[in-house]
Amino acid sequence: MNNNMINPFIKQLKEQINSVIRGKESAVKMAIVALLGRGNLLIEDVPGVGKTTLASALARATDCSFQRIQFTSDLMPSDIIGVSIFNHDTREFEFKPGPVFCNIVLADEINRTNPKTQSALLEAMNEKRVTVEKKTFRLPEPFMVIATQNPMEYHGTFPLPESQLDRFMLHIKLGYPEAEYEKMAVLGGPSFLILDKTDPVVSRQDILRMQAEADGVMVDDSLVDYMMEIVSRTRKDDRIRLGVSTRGAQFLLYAVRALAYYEGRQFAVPDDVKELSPLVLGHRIILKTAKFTADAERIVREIVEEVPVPV
Amino acid sequence: MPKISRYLTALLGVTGCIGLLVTGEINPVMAAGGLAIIPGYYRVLRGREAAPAWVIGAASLLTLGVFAFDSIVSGDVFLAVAHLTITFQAIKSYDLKEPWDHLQVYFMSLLQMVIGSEMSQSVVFGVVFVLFLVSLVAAMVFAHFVKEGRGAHIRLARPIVVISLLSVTVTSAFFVVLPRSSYTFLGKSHTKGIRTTGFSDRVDFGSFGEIKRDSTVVMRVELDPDIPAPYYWRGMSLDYFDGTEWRNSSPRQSRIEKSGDEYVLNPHGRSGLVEQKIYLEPIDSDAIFGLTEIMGIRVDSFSARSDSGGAVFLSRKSSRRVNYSVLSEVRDDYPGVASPRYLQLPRGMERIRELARTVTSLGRSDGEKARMIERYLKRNYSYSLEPSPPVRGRGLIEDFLFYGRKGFCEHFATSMVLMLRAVGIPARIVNGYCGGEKNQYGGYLIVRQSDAHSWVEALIGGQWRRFDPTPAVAAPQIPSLALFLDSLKMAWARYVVGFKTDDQKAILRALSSLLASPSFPAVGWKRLRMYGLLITLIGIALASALLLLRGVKAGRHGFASRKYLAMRKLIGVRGRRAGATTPGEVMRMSQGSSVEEEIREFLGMYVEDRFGKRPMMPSERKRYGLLLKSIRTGLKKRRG
Amino acid sequence: MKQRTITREGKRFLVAAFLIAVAAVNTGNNLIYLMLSLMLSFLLLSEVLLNINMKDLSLEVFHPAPLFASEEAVVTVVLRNNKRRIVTYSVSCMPSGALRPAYFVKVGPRGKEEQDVGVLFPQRGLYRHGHFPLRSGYPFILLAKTRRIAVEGSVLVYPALRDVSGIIGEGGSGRADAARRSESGDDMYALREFRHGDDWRKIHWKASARTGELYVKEYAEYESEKVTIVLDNLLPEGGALFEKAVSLAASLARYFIENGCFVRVVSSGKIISFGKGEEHLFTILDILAVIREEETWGSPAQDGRDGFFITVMKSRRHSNPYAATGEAVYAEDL
Repeated sequence: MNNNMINPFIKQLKEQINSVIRGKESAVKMAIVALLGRGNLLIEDVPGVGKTTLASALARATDCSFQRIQFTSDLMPSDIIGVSIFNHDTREFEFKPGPVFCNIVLADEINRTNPKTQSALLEAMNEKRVTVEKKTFRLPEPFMVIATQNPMEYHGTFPLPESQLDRFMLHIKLGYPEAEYEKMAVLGGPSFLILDKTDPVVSRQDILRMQAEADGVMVDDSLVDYMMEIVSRTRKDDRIRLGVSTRGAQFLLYAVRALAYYEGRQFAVPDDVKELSPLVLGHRIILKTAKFTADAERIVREIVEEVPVPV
Repeated sequence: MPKISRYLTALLGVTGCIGLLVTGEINPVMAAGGLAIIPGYYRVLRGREAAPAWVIGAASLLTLGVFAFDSIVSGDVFLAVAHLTITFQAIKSYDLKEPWDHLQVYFMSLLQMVIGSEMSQSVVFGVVFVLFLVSLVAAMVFAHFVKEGRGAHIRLARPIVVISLLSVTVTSAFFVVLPRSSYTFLGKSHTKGIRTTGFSDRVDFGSFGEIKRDSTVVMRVELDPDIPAPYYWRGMSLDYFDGTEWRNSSPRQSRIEKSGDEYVLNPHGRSGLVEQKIYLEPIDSDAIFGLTEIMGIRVDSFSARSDSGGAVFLSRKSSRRVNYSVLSEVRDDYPGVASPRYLQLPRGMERIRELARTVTSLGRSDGEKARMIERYLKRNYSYSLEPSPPVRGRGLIEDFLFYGRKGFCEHFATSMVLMLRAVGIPARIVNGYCGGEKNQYGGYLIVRQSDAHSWVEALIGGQWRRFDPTPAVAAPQIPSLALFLDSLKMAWARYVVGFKTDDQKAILRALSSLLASPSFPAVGWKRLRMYGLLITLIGIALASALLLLRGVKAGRHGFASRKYLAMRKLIGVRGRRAGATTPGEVMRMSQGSSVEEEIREFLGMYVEDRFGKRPMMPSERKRYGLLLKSIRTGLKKRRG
Repeated sequence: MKQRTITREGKRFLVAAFLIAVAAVNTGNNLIYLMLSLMLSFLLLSEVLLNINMKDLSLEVFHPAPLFASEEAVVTVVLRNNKRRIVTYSVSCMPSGALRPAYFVKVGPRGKEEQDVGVLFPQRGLYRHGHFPLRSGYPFILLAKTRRIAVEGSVLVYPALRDVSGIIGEGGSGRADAARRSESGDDMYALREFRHGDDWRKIHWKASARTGELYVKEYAEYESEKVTIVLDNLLPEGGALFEKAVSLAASLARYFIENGCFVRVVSSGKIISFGKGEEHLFTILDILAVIREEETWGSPAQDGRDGFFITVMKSRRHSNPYAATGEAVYAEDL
C-alpha cells in the first residue's frame, strides 16, 4: 500500500510538527490535510491537551503568519476583523486589520463567545475576505482557521449553531496524550520553548502549490458514488434528524483529495473515504436524541461500516 | 423524438418504397406522388414541424381518389395498393407527431415489403425482414421512452439486441405454430414468370442457343432416396411434326383421380418408389416435371390433369411458384400403347427415310435398330449451340442431317424420331430437363434453364423406351459461393415461403417422438434436418441473449478487481461486513502474516489499477497473478 | 395487486394485427404469416418482458429534511432491483403526497436508484406509507402495468410554519428582543454589584474602577428568557381553526427559539418543558404534529408566572385556564 512516494515537503512538515507536539500523529495529519484541502479545522476537547501548540507548530513549520484569538463572552466582531479608525492626519477613515488577517488563525474556545462574534469569524473564513463599511479586504493566502471548542457539557457556552459547524471541513478530537508522551512533554519543558526552536520547513508558496496539486488528485467515479452513498445514508438513518448537506459531500471530496495527496498518491482510494467520513460528516448531522457530537461521529462510523466499498 | 428515431423512420420509410420500386412492376405515373417523400424526410431530419392537418387530410383524400381510379382502370387492385402505400408513405412523412405515427410508417413499410415479396418471392425479403425486426424493436423501445418523456441519452443497445434476439425466436416459433389454411381465397399471384423458357408446349427451333446459356434456376429437387444420375425430368411428349415444329395432336386432357392427399396416376405400393420434392419456379407452362415413371403426385392444387402423352398439368399453375412431390418408379421403359400418331411423318422425307434404312439395315429387332440410330447420330454429328442457318428450300432436319451436321438436342431428337418412324417404329419427342447439379450445402439438385433438353421415346415391344441421341457436352463449373447462395434461396423457398401444414405435422411428430423416447426418431429425421438447423439457429440466438445478460455480471468487475476479491477471501474477509472492507483494512488484517510483503505489493498494484486509472501492463498482470498465487500458497502453508 | 392496461398504441396495434391475420388467412401467403408472427411475438414479449421488468422490485422512501404541512419538500424514493441478472428499465412510482411520479430510467441488477420527488402534504400528522403504485410500460408502448408495493415506515408531517412577527403583541416581541440582545452581547442588560460566585470575567472593569466597587455585567437572565406557549386544545372541536392554532403555536415556538429563548409548550395532556436550540424545536414539533383536541385540561395549572406566557386560542368563544395570563393570540384572526 505504501509503495507511493511520500512528498518530501509533507514528510518534513509532518516530522517537524510531530517533534513539537508528541503523540498526536493523527491530529497532525488531519491538520495538514485540512490545510491542503483549503479547509478549516475544528478541534473539540478539554482545555490543555495541546490544541494551541498544534496550531502554532503548524504555522511556524509552514512559515505562515499566526494569530491566536482567545474567544470570550465580551469579544466583539471588530476585535477579530478589525476597525476603521479616523486618521486625523489624512482626515480619512483608515482600516486597522484585526487578527484575522494572517495565514493561520487559532480561534480558541470559539463557543465561549456570543453568536454574533462567532458568525463574524465564520463568515470571514468562509468567504476568505472581510467587508468593513462597504470596503472589501481579501484575507491572505493560504488561510486557515483552527477553532477549538470545549465539549458541550461545559456550562456557560454558546454551542456553535449547526449552520456554522457546517463550515469546518474537519472536526477532530485531540484527547489526552498517552502517558509516555505526557511524561516527555512535562520533562521537555513548556512547549513554547520548543516552539521557538522550530524553523519553517516549507514556504507559503509551497503550501499554495501543494493545494493546487491536491486539487488534481484523481477520484474514481465509483469512489464519488461511494461517498454519495454514505452521505445519502446519513439522510435515511433512523437516528438522524437532519442528514449531511450537499456542502458536506463537497467537503468530503476535497478532504479525500487532500488526504490522498498527503499519502503521496495521485489518486484517491476507498480507505481515504472511510477514514475521513466520520471526521468530515460527524459534525454535520443532527441526531434525534443524543446531545453530543461524539455520538454523531460514532453513528457515521457505523453507517460507513455498512456501505459496500467499490472494488 | 430523439434523432435516432427520426433517422430510423426515414430509413425504413424510404426503404419500403424502394423495395417496391425495384420489383419493376410499379407504374411510374401512379406512384409519382411518392416523390414527395424526399423533401418530406428532409424536413423531418431537419426537425421541422408536421404539416397542418387539413393538408394531410386533403392529400389523403386525393390519394384515395387516385387509388379508386387506378384499381378500376388497371383492374389490378393489388398493384393499386402498392401504389397507394407509396403515396401514403410520402404523406406520412409530413405527419410525424407522436410515437404512433412512426410505428405506422414501420408497418406501412413492412406491408410494402410483403407486397414486394409477393411480386418477387426473393430471399432478400428474409434479410430485410430481420433488419426490419431489429429496427422495429429499437423504434418501439425508443418510442416507449419518448412517451415517458425521456428521449435521449439512455444506453439501450444491450436491451435492444436482447429483445431483438428474443423477438426473432418468438416470431419463428409463432410462424411455425400458426395454423395454415390449405386453400386460399384471394390468391391472385403477381410473381413474374421466367419469360424465355427452355420448355414450352411446342418445340420450335428458335432461340434455343440463348436458353442453353441461361443459368436461371428452374427447379430445385430433393431426392429420397438418393439415386445416381442420369436424371431425365420428363415434362411432356409431342407427336406431330410439321417439318418445322412439334405439336401435340391430341391436346385432350383428363382429370387425375385424387386419393387422400395424392393424385394417383398408377396404383402403386410405397416400396421401391423414389420421392422427388420439387420446387418449381414459375414458367410459361402448366406442366410439371418428374422422373419416369410418375406414379403419384402430392400437390396443393385444385386439380391435376394428364394427357395421352403422359404429361401432368396443374390448373392455373403457369405463373406460380409451386412445390410438389412426385412418386416415381425410376426405370428406362414403361408400358405404352401404339397409335398411328406416333408414326406420322411430314412430307419430303425420302432422303431421311433412305438414311434410316441404311443405318438400320443390319438391325434385327426394333430395339437394335433404335440403338443403331442413336449411336449413328451421336457419333457422326456434333453438338453446337450455333448451327449454321438452313439453306432456303431445304428442310430443317434435312439441312442438319446432310449439310450442317451440327445442332443441338432438338435437332438430334427430332432426327431420331423421324428416322425411327421412317423404319416403322412408333416414337415421340419428349421435352423436359436433363441432369441437375448437386448442391452439397443443401443436399439437393439444382436444375437450370440450361438443362432444358429434348429426348426420344420409342415404343418397342409395348414399352416406351428412352433414347438420347445428343452427344454429351461438358457442363460449366459453378462456383461454390453461388451454390451456397442458391442453397439459401432454396431454404427460403422451402421453409418459409413454402411452409405447409405438413411441415407443422412433421415437427409435431418429431417433437412428440423426442419426448416419448429418448432416442432419435429413425423415420423422418432427414426431413427434419433443416428444422434441426433452424432449432440450432434459435439456440444460438438464445445463447447469445443469455451471454449478453451474463456479460452484465461478468463485466461488473475488471481483471484487477476479480483477483482482489479472490485475495480478500483468502485473507478471510467474508460475510456481511466483507463488502465494507477497504484495501487498507485488508492490509492491516494481514499484518504479521508470512506473506505480508506480497500482500502489500498486491494491494498497491490493485489500487493503482482500479482507482489510479493506470491499467496494468501485461507484465504487471503476470506479476499480479503470481503474487496472488504466492499469497495463496503462503497462507496455506501457515494453515498446514 | 397487479393491473394491466393496454395503451392507445397497443389497441391500434391489436387492430393492425387482426387485419394482418385476416390477410394471412385469405392469401395463405407465408410472408404475411411471418408478419403476423412478428406482431404476435411483440405482443407476447410485451407481456412477458413487462412482467420480468416489474418482478423483484422493492421500494424505500426517505425524507431527507423535515416535512411541514402545505410546504413543498423533497422525498427520496429508492427503487431496488433484486433480480440477479436483469436490468429493470423505465419504472415510475407515485409516493403518497408526491406532486409528480418518480421516474427511474434504469436500475441495474441487484442495484438501486434514487430519485428526489417534490411532495406536498396539506395536513400535519403521521402518514403511514402503505402501498405505493409502481408503473411501467417497458419495453414497448403496447402495454402498461401497475403494481402496488408495500413500503415500510411512516412520515411525520409538522404543522405549517408561518411568519408571526406581526401577530404577537409587544410583550412577546420585547421578550424576544431581550433574548436576542443578551445573545448578541452587544449591550449589557444591566450592571450590578459583584456577588459571591460570580464569574470574574464578568466584571465590568471600567465601572468598577470608577466606583471602587466591583460591578459585574449582567446579561439577560435565563429567567427572563423563558417563554411558555399555551396551546388551547380543549374541545369543542375547532376544525380548521384548531389546525390554524397548532400551526400558530409551532410558528411561535420557532420564533422564540430562533431568538434564543427557552421555550415551553403547555397543552391539554402534553407538556414540553423548557429548552432551547433547534433540537428542542423539533421536540416541540414532534408533539404538535400529532396533537389532538382533548376533553379536559389534563395539565396541572402551572406555577403561574414562570417567564412569559403566550396563549394560542382557537377563537374568542373558547375558554382556557391560561387565557388570562400573558398574551393571547387567536387562530380566528389569521
